[in-house]
Amino acid sequence: MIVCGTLLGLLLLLVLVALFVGAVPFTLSDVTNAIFGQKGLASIILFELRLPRIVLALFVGASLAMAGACFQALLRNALADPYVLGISSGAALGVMLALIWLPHTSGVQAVFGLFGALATTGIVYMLGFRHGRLMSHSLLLAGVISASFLSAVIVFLMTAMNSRDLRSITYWLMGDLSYYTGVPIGLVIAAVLAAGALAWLQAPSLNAMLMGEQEALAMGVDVARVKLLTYLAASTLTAVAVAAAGSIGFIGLLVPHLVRLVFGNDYRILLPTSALAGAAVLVLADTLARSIAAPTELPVGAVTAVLGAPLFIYLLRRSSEA
Amino acid sequence: MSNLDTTATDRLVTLEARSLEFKYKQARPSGADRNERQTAFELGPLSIELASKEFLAIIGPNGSGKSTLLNLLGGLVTPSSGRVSFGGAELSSLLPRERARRVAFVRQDTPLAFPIKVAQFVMLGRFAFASPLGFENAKDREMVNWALKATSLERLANRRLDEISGGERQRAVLARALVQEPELMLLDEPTASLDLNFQVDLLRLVRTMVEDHGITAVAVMHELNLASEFADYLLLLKNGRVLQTGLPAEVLRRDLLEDAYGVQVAIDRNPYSGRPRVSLMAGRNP
Amino acid sequence: MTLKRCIALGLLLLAANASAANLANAANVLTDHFGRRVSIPDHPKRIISLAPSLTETLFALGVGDRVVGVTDYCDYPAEASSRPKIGGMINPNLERLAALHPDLVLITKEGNRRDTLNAIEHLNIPIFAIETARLEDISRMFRDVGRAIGKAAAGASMAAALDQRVARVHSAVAGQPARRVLMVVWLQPMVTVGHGTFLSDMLDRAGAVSIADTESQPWPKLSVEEIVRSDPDYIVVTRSPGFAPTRDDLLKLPGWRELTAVKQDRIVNLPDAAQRPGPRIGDMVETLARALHSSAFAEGKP
Repeated sequence: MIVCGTLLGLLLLLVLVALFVGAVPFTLSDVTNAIFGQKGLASIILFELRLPRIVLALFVGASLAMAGACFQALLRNALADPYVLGISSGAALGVMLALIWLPHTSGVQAVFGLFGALATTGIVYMLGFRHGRLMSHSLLLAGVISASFLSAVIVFLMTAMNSRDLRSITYWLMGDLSYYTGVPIGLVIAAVLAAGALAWLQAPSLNAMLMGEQEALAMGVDVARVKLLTYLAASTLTAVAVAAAGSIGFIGLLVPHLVRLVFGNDYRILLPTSALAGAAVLVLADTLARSIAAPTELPVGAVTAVLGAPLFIYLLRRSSEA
Repeated sequence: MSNLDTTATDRLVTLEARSLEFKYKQARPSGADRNERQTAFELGPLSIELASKEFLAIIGPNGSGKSTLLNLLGGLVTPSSGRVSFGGAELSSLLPRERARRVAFVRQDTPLAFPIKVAQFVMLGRFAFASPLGFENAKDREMVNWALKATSLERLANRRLDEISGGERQRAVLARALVQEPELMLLDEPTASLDLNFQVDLLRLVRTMVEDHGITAVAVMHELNLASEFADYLLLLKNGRVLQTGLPAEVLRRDLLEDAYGVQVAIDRNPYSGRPRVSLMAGRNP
Repeated sequence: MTLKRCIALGLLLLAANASAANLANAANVLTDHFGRRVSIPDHPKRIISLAPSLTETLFALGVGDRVVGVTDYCDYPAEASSRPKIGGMINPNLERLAALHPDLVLITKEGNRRDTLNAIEHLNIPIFAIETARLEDISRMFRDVGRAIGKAAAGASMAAALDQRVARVHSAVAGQPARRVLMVVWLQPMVTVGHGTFLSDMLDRAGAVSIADTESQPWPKLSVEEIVRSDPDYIVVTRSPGFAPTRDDLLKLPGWRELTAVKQDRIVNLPDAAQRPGPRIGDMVETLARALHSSAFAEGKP
């Protein structure tokens, strides 16, 4: 509990710093004036532009980290990330179709993306359901196949796109929070909180399932139900994150591992701390993405990749030594 | 068991299996019977009655359906026909949590080399009693301490599972089963791969639970002499059919064992405990 | 009297000060090419352009000094590239844009995102969208941008001049057989011009037709076999930033040395202005026509 409090405090600090940093420099007095109600350039930029983006980064980061932790438990695989089941490819396809069919209607990209993600979730789930149970390895296989198939379709469609849309989708595929203007942030927050709560309720069962499904069943875990609910929660978290910000990589994979190094495998603690850590990491990455090369905005997925790849290698070597 | 010597006429039957049958449609590995290659497998029909403070050992060759029978008795698998009830309740129709409060399993093929502390591992067994958010209370901690004491694991409580020996791990599994406060304990080859001293320790512990805490225990066992030593009753299974059930002396018979295992044996009495003892007749020289 | 005037003036100043983007003194309500009705101040003094073609148009209309922000790609005329940059066309930096206090933002339908338009609209900044898909859209752009910035007459005359010039070029080549052209937009992959874009219109006015004109896509990719089979009369290479292939580059491509146009050096190079639907397009049409139909212009027709 104390730990969560500290993390939360750190997170708030990070948010304040992020508010400060950006393409347009502000002084402390600008910021305080804006906070205390004075309308002007500072308040417009801070509250209409930066704050919504930061809030979105918080929730997308939290969402991806929690989803990663859940999928790692569900698939019994430490290398699982939220996209391994093809959810981001489904969302990408949805976004592309929105770009091709309705290029001049805004907001539809997020909707199509969400729909694509959820449709993929449903299909992969049905494919992974063999012999009346949801089996980890058939789920993984179904997911990998779907991801490959969808990627092929996406590449094919890319050949038919004009340069504006091609550029658009390329940024999206790398993960890009600059699309936040087309996203209903309130809905994102609600969805992430609801799905996150659902996942957290499965935490004790997930702990038991770490010992093996048969063992968990013997201990009283309703394994089938827990798997379904975890899958639903994790897929929703992923779908919402991807629909809002594209496929931002490494957060779903690495943050749970990092948190595990410090806090261990207990999912009751792992889930909320991963959420906070994921939120912090993404806000940090996005702040870098939008200020390092200002006014040019780097896609945040590029920043997470640059930060994440060496970290991943380090974790891999550390675990192989253990 | 119809041919059981019921000297205690007021014996209260707790575990009851009636006309139990189980059929496989295709070959599937199940528990210890991984070498099964038959296309169809039938277990039963069989009936069992067992009371509290009784320990039944299921013996028989590999592939005879011992583990399947254990899963059926524990309500983890639903029979094709017949019913299994414990304490009057049909186990396979209970919710997992309710079932886990009455029945505990101890297996030996769990992937246990996990970086989790022994105390935390044992605490997992309290799942069936936990609140929705799963945080432990005083009663949980009390039970864990008791179980660690009973299995002599107190000084290892804060060590990790992957840092202790195989025998200690198996005791931890037993401790985790104990915290479920079970009335029925089902053990699947609990002594396989353990050193002799650990085998004896474990079985003695099971006996203590059975005698002092009134638990009903059923164990699938490999070693005929250990089964004879520690169990009250035996059930000999071959190809899914019961060859014989009853006291060890009634089940460990030359003809039955030869039929089951295809090996010639001689039965006499262990001079120290008085229990039936199985010896190989033709060892090196057939 | 004096007191009333003072109060009125005070109120007016108050209203004008209320917010940087307050449009209490808006004079024009124009309809943009999305059909949106946009309130634009009479003579916008702080204009931001979100596309190179719009930037060129603004400078051509003589209001270059009123342009306070451009994209990273706005490189013509030279003055334009010295204006403050606000990022790319897909993801302009909204903070920088807002910090420049624009009173008008111009945006295209084709090169920019609708999301960007909505975000800027949300900030209460007047934003006007222009369509630049076809050749005829370009003169429409001159007229409408002219009206928006208070230079309606200049816009109209630029539009008329472009229309007349294109018409002249078109009639000059009218009697000639249409040249079959491979217009190379990009080499790897080989992207050419199909149907329904301002480049295909340009080819048409210059008395040519793309060998990929029958393709349904606007920017089809042709394989080498199809190109060899069609054997175009001319190859037109339109340069763009980072893409300026020479004849030798083309010769290196497999199969290209078999093409008649390559063997006879019928390769026309157009500067990157050809890909920009802006004020220089008239020059491009004429340059192209003269290169493809030199005989039609030999007698010094204007």
